[in-house]
Amino acid sequence: MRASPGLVPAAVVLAALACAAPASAQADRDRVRISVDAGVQLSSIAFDTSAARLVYLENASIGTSYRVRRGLLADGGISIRLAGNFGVGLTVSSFMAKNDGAVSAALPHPFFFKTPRTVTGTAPDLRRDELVTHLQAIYTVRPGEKVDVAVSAGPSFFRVRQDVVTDIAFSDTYPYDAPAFTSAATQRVSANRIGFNGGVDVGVRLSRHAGLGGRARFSRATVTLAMPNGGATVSTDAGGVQLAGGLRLYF
Amino acid sequence: MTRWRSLLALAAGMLAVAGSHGQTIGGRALAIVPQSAAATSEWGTIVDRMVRGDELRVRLERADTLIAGHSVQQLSQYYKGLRVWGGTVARQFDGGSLVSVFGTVYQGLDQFDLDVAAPLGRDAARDGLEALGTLLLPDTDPELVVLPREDGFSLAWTGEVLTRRDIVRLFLDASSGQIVRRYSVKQGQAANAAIGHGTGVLGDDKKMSATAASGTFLASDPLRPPAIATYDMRGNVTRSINVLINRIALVASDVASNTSNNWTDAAVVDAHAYAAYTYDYYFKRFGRRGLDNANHKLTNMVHLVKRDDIFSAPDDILDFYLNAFYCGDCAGGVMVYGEGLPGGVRLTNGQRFDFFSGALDIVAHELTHGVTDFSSRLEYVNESGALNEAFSDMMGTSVEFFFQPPGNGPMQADYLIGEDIVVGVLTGVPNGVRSMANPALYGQPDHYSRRVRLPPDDAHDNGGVHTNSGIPNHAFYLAIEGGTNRTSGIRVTGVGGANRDQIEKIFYRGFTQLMPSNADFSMARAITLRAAQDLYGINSGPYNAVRDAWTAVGVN
Repeated sequence: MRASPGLVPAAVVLAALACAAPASAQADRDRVRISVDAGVQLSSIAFDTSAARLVYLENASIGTSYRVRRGLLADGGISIRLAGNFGVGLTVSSFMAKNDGAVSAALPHPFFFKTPRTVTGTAPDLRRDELVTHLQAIYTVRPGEKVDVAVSAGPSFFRVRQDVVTDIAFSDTYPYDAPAFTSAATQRVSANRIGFNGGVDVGVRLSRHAGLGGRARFSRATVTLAMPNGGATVSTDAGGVQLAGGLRLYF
Repeated sequence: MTRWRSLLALAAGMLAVAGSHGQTIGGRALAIVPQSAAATSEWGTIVDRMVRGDELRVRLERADTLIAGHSVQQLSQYYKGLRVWGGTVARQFDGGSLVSVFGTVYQGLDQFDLDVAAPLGRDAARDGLEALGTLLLPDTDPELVVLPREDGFSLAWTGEVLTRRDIVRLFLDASSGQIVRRYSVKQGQAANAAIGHGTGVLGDDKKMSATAASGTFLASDPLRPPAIATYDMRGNVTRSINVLINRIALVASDVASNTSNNWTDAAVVDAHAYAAYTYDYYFKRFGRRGLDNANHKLTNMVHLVKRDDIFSAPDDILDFYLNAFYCGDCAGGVMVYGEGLPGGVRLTNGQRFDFFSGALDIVAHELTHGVTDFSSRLEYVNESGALNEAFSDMMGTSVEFFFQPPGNGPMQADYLIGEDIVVGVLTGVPNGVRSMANPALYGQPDHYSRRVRLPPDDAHDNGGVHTNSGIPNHAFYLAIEGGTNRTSGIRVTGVGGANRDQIEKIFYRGFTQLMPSNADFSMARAITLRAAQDLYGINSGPYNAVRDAWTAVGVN
């Protein structure tokens, strides 16, 4: 897993600046904190799917290997201080990434039984969407008058949507021993699952009600995707390291 | 030119017409079998001079499919504008350089001062030929040729006619109109693509490349380059014969059909599938595109008769039960597969016959006769005829090994011919009709010293073409598998089954590209060695295997 090259140092700088700033009595009176962030989710998730269809009287098997890597993240949430440094929060994050899938299929021969032919290709831009609702228990400390650091953890409710390869198109010419991959047919499948999250958020107040902040979070769930048309199910991880920064509003 | 080559001499013999014995090809034949590069070059010069003098004309010229940059050429000899029967030369070039030359040309024609104005005219010749058969086949309009004879040369009209029992090439003396030579040319043992399921003669599952049309499925293969179709004659023997003699044409309703794409007519299934397999073999092994290397259509005919009618069938249609054959001029070229015998019925020799299309080697054998027709045109008489038969056996067996696992059971590759549908049902009676591994088991010679010497006419299997084929057949076997010839005791180190493609390519190259139509065994040895040298180099393993195999069977 790789860290984002820009966001972590930015958060550290913000924290340092905040520590150097004079303390504010206003901070302790804030009960509500709203965050609106944009960033990146770092993932290294791999999984495989298989599909089958009848070709020339026999089953063709179509296997696809997927890798889910970094993608854009939008994140917004609200937290409420309940007592002292403790509070609760709810954040919704949306992650989207497009990655290629490696397709390998065993296609029956038109003339002979039990003589499969292998064809390989790439299914481009397979989309993964993760919409996650994070519930958080939050503990906030204020190392400086304008800086707050919130540590949080809790359950996450994942909704994952994934493009999966369900079939391929291929070209075939005599003697039909070496078909050529043409394209892949895809469908979008989805699944829900409860996972967990944990992270830290650093905010720097720039005015009475507004500031900037940065967040690092790790969330994870293992979802089970069902292939279309009664196909097999496949498990895949969701989530990953999320690094984001953006606006903070205090009330 | 009509070519009707059957699988078996057995039935051909049963049907043979008693007639005059043909003449042994004589004249002043000069075999071209150069033994050195210098001799090859010298012959190249002579052949060039003959081409310039219109003594040799190019009949066929094409690129070599096995060696890039090479080309091959077949030439026919002419004298004063008339073809000299049997005078043929085959040349191989690397770019513009001559690599090999083999053939036979006739010398001394001028000494006989032939008058090429035939007293017997073309119309009279046509009438004479048709009087001896039922029909002069199309594309065989009588041709006036110079016929080499023992005592010199003479003019003769030649054509192929269908008799009640055979297809025969006849030569009429151009002066008297009398028959001076005859021999059988019947070669044999003696868009909407829809892949269907078929059950073969031996109960095996196969895929059928069929065509969907108006709610039915036709045995017409839309996936391979040539038109491959299987016709079901539904036991209508009169219609079948009329098709074969070109009185009527095959029509769409003759194509085997099924309301579902699950085919249960085993004779149709195997004829259709195995003809296609044979096309595949030639393409994948040699890069050849069908019979003529230009995707000539492949037409199968099955069910020309009904099995249960055999006891009342006249002798002249027994081939439709107990043989398979290729006829080049019948309906544009067809493979005919015998119906076999009713269940429980066997021949007196103790063998039972199933549908002939049920044996891959038989189907490939017949189609290879077509390949020969479109390449060397090995004359179907004497040693050239035996070579013609042997090449069909070689390729038939090679196709088996290409598609089937080695073994001794049904649908397993071996060196028997026809063993999948000709089954011995009495103790000690073998399966099949020939053995390349041990020709003597079926009464064939395994050594040149044991060859049969029969009159070269249709009453004697054209000089024993189905018998003497055992000699080159055994050489082919020894070159692959190795072993000791039972007559000479000479041991051969073969290339081994894993390298069988080397020997297949050598013989294919020799027989289809370098061989003239009148080759004899000795010339076949020289030609296959030339092919081995071309492909693998002199004194290479394959070269030595071929050389030693020919030596072991007494052909030098």
